[in-house]
Formats: sequence, structure tokens, C-alpha cells
Amino acid sequence: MNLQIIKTIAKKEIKYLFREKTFYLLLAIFILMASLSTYIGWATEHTIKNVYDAAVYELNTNQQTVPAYPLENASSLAIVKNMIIYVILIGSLLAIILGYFIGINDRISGTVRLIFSRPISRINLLLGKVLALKTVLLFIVLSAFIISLLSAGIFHVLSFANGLKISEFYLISFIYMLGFALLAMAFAISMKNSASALLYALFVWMIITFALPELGSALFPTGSLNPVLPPTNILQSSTLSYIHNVTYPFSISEHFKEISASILEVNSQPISDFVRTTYSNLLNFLVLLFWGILNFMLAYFLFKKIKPAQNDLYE
Amino acid sequence: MIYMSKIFIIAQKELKDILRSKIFIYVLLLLFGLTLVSLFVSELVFKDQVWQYNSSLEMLRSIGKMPTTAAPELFPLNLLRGVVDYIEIIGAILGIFLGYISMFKERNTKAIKLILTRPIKKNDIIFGKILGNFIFTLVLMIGVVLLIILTLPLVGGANLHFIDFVKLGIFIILSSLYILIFFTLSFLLSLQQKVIANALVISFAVWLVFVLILPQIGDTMDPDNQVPGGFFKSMALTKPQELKVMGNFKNYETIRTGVEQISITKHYERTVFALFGIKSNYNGKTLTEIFHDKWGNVLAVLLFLLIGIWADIIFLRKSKNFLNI
Repeated sequence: MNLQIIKTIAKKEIKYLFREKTFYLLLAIFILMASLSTYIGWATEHTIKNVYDAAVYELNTNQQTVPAYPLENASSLAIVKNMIIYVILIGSLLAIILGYFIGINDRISGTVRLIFSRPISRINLLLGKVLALKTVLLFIVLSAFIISLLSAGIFHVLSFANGLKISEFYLISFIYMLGFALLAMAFAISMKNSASALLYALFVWMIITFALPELGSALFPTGSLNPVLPPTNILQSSTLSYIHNVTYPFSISEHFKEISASILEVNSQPISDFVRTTYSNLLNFLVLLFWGILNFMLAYFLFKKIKPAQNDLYE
Repeated sequence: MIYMSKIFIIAQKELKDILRSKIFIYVLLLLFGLTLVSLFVSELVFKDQVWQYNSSLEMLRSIGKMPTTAAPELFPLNLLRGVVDYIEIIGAILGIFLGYISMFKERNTKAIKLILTRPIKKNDIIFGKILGNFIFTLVLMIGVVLLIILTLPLVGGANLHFIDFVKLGIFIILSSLYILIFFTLSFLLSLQQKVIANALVISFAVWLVFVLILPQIGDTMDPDNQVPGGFFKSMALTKPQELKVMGNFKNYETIRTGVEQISITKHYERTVFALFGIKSNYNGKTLTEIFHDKWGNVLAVLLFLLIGIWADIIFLRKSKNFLNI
């Protein structure tokens, strides 16, 4: 392992990435949504309080019983909760694009043969790409973190404890997104064409984001992106509960949602007693780490198999 | 007649190219697999609702009371909520890949230069490609619907009536048009971008915003979605009371629905949800009543598609660099 070479490769990859306008486009969407998420959370919370007051007036007029405000015990960080969804949606897609660009750029520019004509080992080249990936991803996550801190300050929910919770949430988000970035990079360095590389990474993303939560928690694909709970309490059905227990270990997005909900103290979807007692926050965290390691190993395995003379893409 | 035959020849070539590509077999398998998963889960959820209702009924009877809510009723097309969601998401991705691959092949093989040496107009190319892809999406959607028709009686024990088949037919056409909108977008970008891989990434950025982010914002801002089971239900408000209360928040609702209106996906979703009775107040309504309510959404889908086709034609006509690809 040669640190100097790894750094040089990482620097080259980062330079390439920041020259790509399309990368800026997705970055801008993510940063914009990070900025908007707290406002959307605040506006919704503010409106629901006013809707409640109007409903109370209506019920009193008709001499009906007035229920307690349903969001009385909501966490002060509930206004940040939209970021959980945006990391799952935009963050992981941004990570996929990032990994795709870093994996494909040498191949599209036709420099794979040239690079391998130099005394650079495969592992150094791969580690250089991974270092670039981590650095850029860290930059993105740090930017979103600062924006969330600032907006939490604007809406008066920022305290030292809340700041710490927000930082923990972004650390988890970084690990979650890194897994997708490594996966996309693995496909981008080995697939026969650029479209397949992106498509296969998106397939995995769709299965993790939509299909597994539906199978395991009866969440409709678009329902899993909204603060609505499943149409039924899966825990009351033995079959649904059993499927939930079996699929949960593989449902990476649900592990992420579960830890994030716990950190930000917001409601998560119902989970079975078996899952609750088996998967502590630490175990959920370890599953996310394993997800990242698994994808790194996949990238390493696929990178070892490539034939430099045939790896360039002429698209 | 000769004009039409040129379009048909290009459409035929386009279809052959698509069917030769492995990518589409994988998309097809994914769509079929997810359709089955979705039907299976919906069926389990419905059975669970029936079981919960019967349990409550027994409990109430044992203490000498009668239930105030009606028993869950099976409307077979209601079970297709997940399938519609998948068409919204994966169908759009498929459209993007169709548009990209369609141009990618021409640019890579330089076949477009050869085609244009023949007496074929640029418009013929566009219309031929659109027709070929429309036929492909129709075949794909027919496949999905056949799978639904075969599976529904097996998993749900549900019997489909004539009107259900008509609704499924409309679903096939509407979904194909929806997928075609994303085809026109990615086709345009594949023409316009110097590095064709960038066209794919930009198309995904647009897809992300219109298919996922805008509907997500609209749903998140819905006060009723803030409480499990619904805010208004938790307040025990009747529908007229709910409407009266929300009448005080017209501006907020205008902004919220306005955000949703920008998304083509929401227009498609609203039409199909009404058609299948997933939006429960449309259960039992006639097609005339449904389209009386949803013509605006259908029009929006058609309008988005026409804009997409128009943009493709204009860009292709004006593109001086087209032959330099």
C-alpha cells in the first residue's frame, strides 16, 4: 500500500468530480432539500397546531368531546425528521451517482490502459477511489449537517443535546450513503456499459428503499416515503409479523430509519418485539457498517477481475 | 401512406433493438417480481383487516353491543395500490432508459448518419421511435395486467367483473403514456448532452424531483398524515366538519396541492387511484363519474406528453450538430 499514490489518485478523482456539472445538479438538490426540510417540518407542525385549534372550536360548538392534542409529546427535533426520508431518497441516489462517476470516469475517458501501464497496484488504485468517495461524501454530509444546525437554530430548537443528536444522525447517514456509493462504484468499474452500471445500482436501491419495506412492514412503496403508517398493524397478523422478522435483517433502509428515529426521538413504524429486543441501536449500526464493508468487498472482488486492456468504454 | 410506412419501419427497428437488449428483460422481471410481492402483501393486509374486524365483532357481541363500523369489503382493484406505486417509480425509470438507449445506439453505431442519407425526415425518426417505444410499453403493461388478472383470483380469491377489465385496459394505456413522457425527456437530453452518460444522470435528477420529492413534500405537508390512522379520525371529526375546518387553511392547502400539481406522477396517480377505487370515495362510481372528476389529471398527463414530443421534434430539427454525433 502506497499512501502517496492513494492520495494522488484521490485528488485526481475529486478534481474530476468537481468538474462534472451533473454532479453539482444532484448536490444542489440535496443541499436545497436539507435547507428546506426543517422549514417544511416547521410549517407542517405550525399548521397542524392551528388545524387542531380550529377543530377544537368546531367540536366545542357542537358540544362534542375534545381529544387531547395528538402531537403533545412530539420531540423538539421532529421538525428535522424529513431529513431521514431525504437521506434515503436523495442522499443515497447522490451517493450512487458519486460512486458511478468515480468508478466510470477512467473508463469513459479511455485512460484505464494508460493508468495500468504505470507502476500502480490495483489495491492502491481502488483505495484512492474509495478515499475520494469518502472525502466528497463527508463534505456533502458536513454541509447538510451545518445547514440542519443553522435551521434548527432559526426555529429555536437548537441546544447542545440536540446538536449532538443531529451530528449522530449525520454520522449514520454518512455510513448509509457510503454503502450505496461503494455499490455503484463496484458496478461502474466492472460492467460492460455505463447504462447497465447505473441501472443495476438503481435496482438494488429500489429493492432496499421500496420492495423490502413493503414486504417486511406492509408499507406501500410511496407510503414508505411519507409520515403515514402502514395500512395495518403488522404485529397483529402472525404471517405479516413472521415475514417482518425474516426480512428485517436485510432491510437496510429500515435499519437506518430505526436508528435515525431513535436518535431524533421521532415515531418510527411498528416493529415486532423480536426485532426490538434483537436489534439494539448498536446492532442496527453494525448492520449498516456491514453493508458498507460488503460493498467494499464487492468492489475489491470485481476490480481484481477486470482486464485493463478491455476495460475502457468507447461510448 | 409512404410517410406512414417509413415511421412503421423505424418503429419496427426500434422494437427489435429493445427486445435484443438484456436490460429490458431485467426491468421486466423486476416489475413482474414486484407486482407479485405487492399483490401478496396487499392480500395479507386485507385478510388481516377482516380478521381484526371479526375479532372486534366477537368481542362486542360478547358484551352485548353491535359494531358501528362496516365490515371491510374487498374491491379487487384496491389491491393494486402497490403496483401503481411501482409503475410510478420503475415505469418512469424504464422510460428514461428507453429514451437513453434509443439515442445511445444511434450515436454509438453512427447509424443515424446512414439513416439520414435515405429520404427520411427527422420527424419520421422521432415519430417512429416514439411509436416503437409506445408499442413496447403497451406490450409490457399488457404483460403486467395479465399477471394481475391471473394472480388476483389466486391470492385474493377475487372475481373480476367486466368493468374491472375495462378499467385495467384504461390503466394499460394511461401507464404507457406516463412511461412515454419520461422517454421523451431522456431522449431529448441524450440528443442535447455532449457526454451521453450525463443525459442519464440529469434525467434521474428530474425523475427524483418530479416522481419522488414533490409528491413526498405534498404528502408530508398534509395535516391528516401527521398522526397514525389520520389526524381527523383521531379528532373524531365527520367529513363535513373536516372540510369546514380545512376551509380556514385555504392558502396552505393551495400551496400544498400546488406542489403536487407540478408533479406529473401525482396526476397519473390521482387518475389511477380513482379508477381503481383506491381513493375509497370512488368505489362503486361509474367511469363517467370518475372521468368527470379526473379529466384535469388525464389532460395533464396528455399535455406533459405533448410537450415532451414537441420538445424532441423542435430540438432535433434545430440541432445543427445532429450529424456530427
